[in-house]
Amino acid sequence: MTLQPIKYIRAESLEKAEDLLQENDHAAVIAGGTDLLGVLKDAVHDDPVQVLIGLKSVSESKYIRVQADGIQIGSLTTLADIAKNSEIKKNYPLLARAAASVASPQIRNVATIAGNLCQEPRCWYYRNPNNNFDCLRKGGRWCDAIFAENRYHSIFGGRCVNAAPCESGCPIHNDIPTYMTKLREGKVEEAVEILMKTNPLPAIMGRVCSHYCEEECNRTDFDEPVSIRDVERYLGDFALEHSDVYFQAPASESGKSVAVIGSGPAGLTAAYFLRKQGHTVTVYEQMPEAGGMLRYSIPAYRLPKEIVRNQIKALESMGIQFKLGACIGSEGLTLEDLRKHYQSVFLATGLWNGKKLKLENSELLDSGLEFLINVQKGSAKPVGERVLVIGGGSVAIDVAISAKRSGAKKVMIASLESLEEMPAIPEDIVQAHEEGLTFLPSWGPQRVLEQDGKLTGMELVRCDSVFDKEGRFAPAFDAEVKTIVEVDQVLVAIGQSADLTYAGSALQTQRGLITVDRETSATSLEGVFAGGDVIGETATVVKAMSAGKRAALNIDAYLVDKQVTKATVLTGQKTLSINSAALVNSSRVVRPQLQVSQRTLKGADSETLAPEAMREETFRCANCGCVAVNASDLASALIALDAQVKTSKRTLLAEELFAAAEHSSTILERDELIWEIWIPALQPGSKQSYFKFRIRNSIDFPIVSVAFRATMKEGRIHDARLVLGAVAPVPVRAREVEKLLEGQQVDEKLADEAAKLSVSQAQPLSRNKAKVEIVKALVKKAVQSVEAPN
Amino acid sequence: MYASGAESQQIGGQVMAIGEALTEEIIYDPVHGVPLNFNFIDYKMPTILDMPEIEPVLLEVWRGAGEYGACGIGEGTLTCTPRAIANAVYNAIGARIDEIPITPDKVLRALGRI
Repeated sequence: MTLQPIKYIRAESLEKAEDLLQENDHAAVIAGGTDLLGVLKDAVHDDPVQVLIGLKSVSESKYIRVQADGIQIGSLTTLADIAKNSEIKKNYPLLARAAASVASPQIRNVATIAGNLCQEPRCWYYRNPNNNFDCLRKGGRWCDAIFAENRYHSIFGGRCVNAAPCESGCPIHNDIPTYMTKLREGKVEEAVEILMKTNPLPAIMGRVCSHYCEEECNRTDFDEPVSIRDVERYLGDFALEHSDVYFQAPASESGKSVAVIGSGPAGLTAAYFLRKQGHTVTVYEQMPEAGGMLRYSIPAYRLPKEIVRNQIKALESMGIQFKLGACIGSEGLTLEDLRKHYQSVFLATGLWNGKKLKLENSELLDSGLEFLINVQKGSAKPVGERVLVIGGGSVAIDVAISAKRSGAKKVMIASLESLEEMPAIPEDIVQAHEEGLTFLPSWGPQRVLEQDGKLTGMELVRCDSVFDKEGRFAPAFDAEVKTIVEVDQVLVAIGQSADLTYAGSALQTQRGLITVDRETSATSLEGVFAGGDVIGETATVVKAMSAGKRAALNIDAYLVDKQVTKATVLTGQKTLSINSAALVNSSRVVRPQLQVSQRTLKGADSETLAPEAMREETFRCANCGCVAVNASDLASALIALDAQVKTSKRTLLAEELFAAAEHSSTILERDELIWEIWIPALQPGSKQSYFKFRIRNSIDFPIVSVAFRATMKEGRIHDARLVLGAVAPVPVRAREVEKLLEGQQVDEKLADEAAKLSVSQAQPLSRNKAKVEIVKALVKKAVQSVEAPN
Repeated sequence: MYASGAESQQIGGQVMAIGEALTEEIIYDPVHGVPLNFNFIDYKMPTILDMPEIEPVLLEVWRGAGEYGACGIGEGTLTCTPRAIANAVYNAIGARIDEIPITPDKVLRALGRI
């Protein structure tokens, strides 16, 4: 790839440069150094820089000003000026030494202190020419360095760039990497606590979730995704077994009350989070038992009803009240009554009417949903010998498998979609094949065949495509291609609709669904919120939970009149200990499952993983994070000096500046430049050292660097700072070692102890164990250096 | 003969020899076979700061086999240096490292430290 022409703009001031950055998405600033030149030459970015904003001309930011209480360094001061400055050499020798160790004299003459702090990630996968590798720091999902050539990479784990793919793929954003880490440490209780922050129904979700997390798992491309759902199921069962611990009533009552209408996943989730906030929650359910579709539509072989009952019991123990068999509308309380009794109402009434085919004689067809509900109630009619299920979603598969297990000899599933396009999750399709069901993909129902008022079969017509160019549902048929399927019963599972008779005229609805504000879940009625299937945005249990949680946050904000906290907080930028045990090929755990011939309509098909198997599976989670190091010499030096970094928007401690961000090593925003560095004056008796281990003595980045500062009083160390550079995605401050050194006299034993402690948390990757030894050697040297003159 | 030109050749040979012995190596991604350090920051040739004093010695003993008596005087000088350095390392640490470049991790491994 050749270098594309780049427009160069000379900025007159830092403000102007920031304005230019704001105006142009494809702009980057270049101070004086060469870091960006390599990035540009090698076309490292997917989205190339088109405009370079030169800061060389901004001379007012090149200064070193000595004040009584510290020193100010302009952000565009060159490294050579810092290394040569007599005041810095005298009072901050650590900084002078770090600056002098950068690159070569020629580069130091032009490179700036801020540029050194803002280098792009130093990793040969990131910087490989022409954007060759997928990379977490470029918005990618995979990191080759974790698994392959990592000799110079992090020895202190990785850092989440954005949230881990599993976590961001999950609609309720379960913090999967963190609970997996806890499980590897054997801390099941803590893992459950972490999971339940986002998921109050883990035993249910561990069985029926469509596991978007597993689709996103990085292992998918390596071997097989981690069985996240099975691990969650284990945690869920644990939570229910210890429901007294995990489902506790809130410490104090808010005095506010909420009615939740519908006890499906959206309603239960909202009820849980509202109760947690201290509100009185009453759940109204029209059926004799709570759980909604979890109780009445999802077959017992997938979700045993005992689990649903235990889950409801656990929620009841928190003080959530359930009113069962309670219809809303003409027969029971009206929506108006509820609005009078409660300060807020949450409508999560779901979609309980099966959609019908509009064909002649369609009264001869049965509703798949009704069939599932009747199976759960124990009142299902016997099924026909040959059954055709119409539909391609997970409900259709449930209907078909349930029909087979109810005694049907032959069960076929006709869907408009091809096998690849079917909305049912692939796992369900595999199971359907296992159970001997026949798929008739790309066929649409055309005509009901009957004789003497009795169903004899269906005529199907070829469906060429299901969606139009804009992705809207608009099936196109080839009327020439038809087939006839002879069956005794047809079960229709082509979607569901809502029964909104209770809504009356006051509540705004659209196309049979409740209209809500998508941000706040608020309906057209004051204090009334809605979510889940009934607003038409969900299709899976986990998405219903997400809607329930969002509604709960908004209802809570409405009740206590406060700002809404964001529902979807992703936990990016956390430090992750890369789990090196996961870096070899392995197969995912298989949960104990009954043979197909032994499976029944009512008994569970599978068992929860045994503790050992569950734990083993957690070791397959690599804890994906970036393992590139921050190789800036000035970064660790400034942290050791308690420096502050002033930008146009804020003042940060140097320690707070660094992050493993996309295309960046700092937390700075795109249009935020560093203006000044401030280093406070040091106590008399300050001892400082900077050591840098590298392959060659010039133009080289540290493999390990150590910045050390301490105040010596009567031969004892006080207020030590020990910062390790190039060993992790951000500089590492060795606080444990600093504590160890406090008040100590330096001898070899102490230096050895400090060295050992500095790497006690190290987790080298496959090829960088040497770095651990180098850290130890440099730390020992640094601690002993307090005896020598600065 | 232009003596200082010949001496420069010998010194230059030692730059390459020290690089070969201690720092220069093309690193490939083990999975994809893609070279990872195809630039002179990550592929580390010695710099002037890495060079010890070199004392070139010209010994005129033989007329070269080339057409006008020419012979190579630069590249030949680097052949012994990596061996000499490997022997020096052995002498210093008491363990043989039989693979160049001799890098810190190989030394630590030879010492049984990692």
